[in-house]
Amino acid sequence: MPEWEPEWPWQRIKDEPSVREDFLKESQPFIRHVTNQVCHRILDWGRDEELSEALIAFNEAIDHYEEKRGVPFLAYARLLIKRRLIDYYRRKKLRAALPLDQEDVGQAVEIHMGVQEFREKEQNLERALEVQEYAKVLEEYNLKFNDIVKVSPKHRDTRETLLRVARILADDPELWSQVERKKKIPMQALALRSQVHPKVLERGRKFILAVAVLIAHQNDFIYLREYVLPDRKG
Amino acid sequence: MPIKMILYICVNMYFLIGRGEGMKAVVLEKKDTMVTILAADGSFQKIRYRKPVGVGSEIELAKIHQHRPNWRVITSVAAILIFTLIGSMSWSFYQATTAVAMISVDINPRLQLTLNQKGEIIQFEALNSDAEDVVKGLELKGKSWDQALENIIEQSVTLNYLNSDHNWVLVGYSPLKEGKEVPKGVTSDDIAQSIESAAQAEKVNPNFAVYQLGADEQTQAKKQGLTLGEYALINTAKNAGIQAENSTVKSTDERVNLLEQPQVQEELTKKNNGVSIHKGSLGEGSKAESGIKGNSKQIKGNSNGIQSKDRSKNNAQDNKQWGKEQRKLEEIKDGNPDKQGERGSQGNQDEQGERRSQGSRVEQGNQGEQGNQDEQGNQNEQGNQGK
Repeated sequence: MPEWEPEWPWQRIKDEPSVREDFLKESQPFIRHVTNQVCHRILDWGRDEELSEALIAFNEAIDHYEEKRGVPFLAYARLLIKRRLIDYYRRKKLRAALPLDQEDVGQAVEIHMGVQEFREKEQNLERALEVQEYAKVLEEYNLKFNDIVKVSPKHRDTRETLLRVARILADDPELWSQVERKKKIPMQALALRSQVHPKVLERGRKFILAVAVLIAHQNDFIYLREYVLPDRKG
Repeated sequence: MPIKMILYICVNMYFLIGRGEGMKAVVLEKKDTMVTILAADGSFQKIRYRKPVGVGSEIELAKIHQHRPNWRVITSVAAILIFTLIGSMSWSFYQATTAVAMISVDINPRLQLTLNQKGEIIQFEALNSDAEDVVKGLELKGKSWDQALENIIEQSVTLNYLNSDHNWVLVGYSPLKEGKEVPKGVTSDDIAQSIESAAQAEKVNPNFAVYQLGADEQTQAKKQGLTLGEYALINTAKNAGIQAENSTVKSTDERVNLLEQPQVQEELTKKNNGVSIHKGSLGEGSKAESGIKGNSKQIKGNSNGIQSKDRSKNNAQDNKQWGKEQRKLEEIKDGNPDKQGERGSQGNQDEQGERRSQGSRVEQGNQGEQGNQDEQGNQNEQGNQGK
């Protein structure tokens, strides 16, 4: 899975078939993740038609995407996949078996949408959904936004250190699986990995956790994670 | 100056806090005007945000919300601003209200004016009923000293305290504290000029003497209940060998009498510690001459231009004679330096012209009317030496 969107060579992805092929292959986990979420079940490549529909939608997203718009590509692609799938179910007249909310069906009338249409309103809606999801995930860790605000480091240096630590934690599969299992940060291991004093980690525990959740669930929090990635500081 | 400073600080404040691109943030929670946000620097914050936003909206943060220390900057800048404001204000207040110098005016009305550092009148005392009459119609407070002086002269003329019969103006000025300077622009020359211009505007031609006194003399004068001018006049009289009582100088007639005493005249003209004397319509020469003759009555009432014109013709010879006398006088004086030392007049034993030029300015009222070549020559010579 590609990590930083701005680094993708958009012109080459659009123009060179081989590069596009690679990009599609790279993006398969994302596409599958989104499709799983929309369909509320686990899908497999080669078995489920939904995934090929999603791939077509993703490919279309590449065609229509404009880098300069300032919209995160994955957010745009995700929306197109969602709409495509809704349309797919509608075409198949499988509405009864449709695992989607009635609301979603009513909303998605048009699957084709240019980036220019993907405006503030839609983005805000998408972000709002992410925030809801984020709040839900945090609840699993017994965290509330209010708690995080209280412990959010005020000094830039501390904040940057903790953001870095959170990335280490989220990017390390072994550590992160521990977090998911125990809903706790393995302090000792993390201190060793990050070379940051356990005291500092302990103080920033909630903050690290909240940020790490955003980074680890990168397919879900396309908008939100941008705020905690050091490379994308506004 | 302070306004400039305030402007500068405001601009600084603007750069410190107001400017700079805002940072993006996403709204996580909202409750009334308080929103919880995730800012682009990875910080979670709770801020007051008045514009209507929903959860999921992206908002632009003003720089002010980014760091707490910015508040510290604001407070410190504000503190500095306030301090400078208070400082500059109290300084100007101090300057405006602190008395640094005094000017006394004796015509018949006796007046004392107190000046601040800017040369404005902050207080005035009318020391007799005539003075009260004079100041009644005048708004002296807050005026610059020269304007006040002119007003007083004008008013005195209007009320007929200063006319051809009462034609002496005695002015004294001094700093209030030892070592302090009188306000800029307060000099014997300036005072003399101020009086002269006011008098000319009123078409009178008074005689006047301007004394410069020190702070200690000012204190002494106050103790004895005298104005600065009166106190200085007594000293002059003493030096001239005339005993003058305090009461003498307070009475206008006697004071004028005293002023017209030849010895006093002589003392006034020769003194070089800050007295500036101006003789109205009478030429210096004629006055000195008549003084020498001891004919002080002749001088009186001679401020009339026509009369003096008549006189000036006769003065041609007198002047020559006076010149001789003067030279004789100088010889005597030069031979007797003790007398000058006792006056504390800087022990200057040079020629009289030189001496005079250092401290005192001798002005001549009606040079044009006098039209006396001889005398003017004499005058110029003295003036040149001075410059």
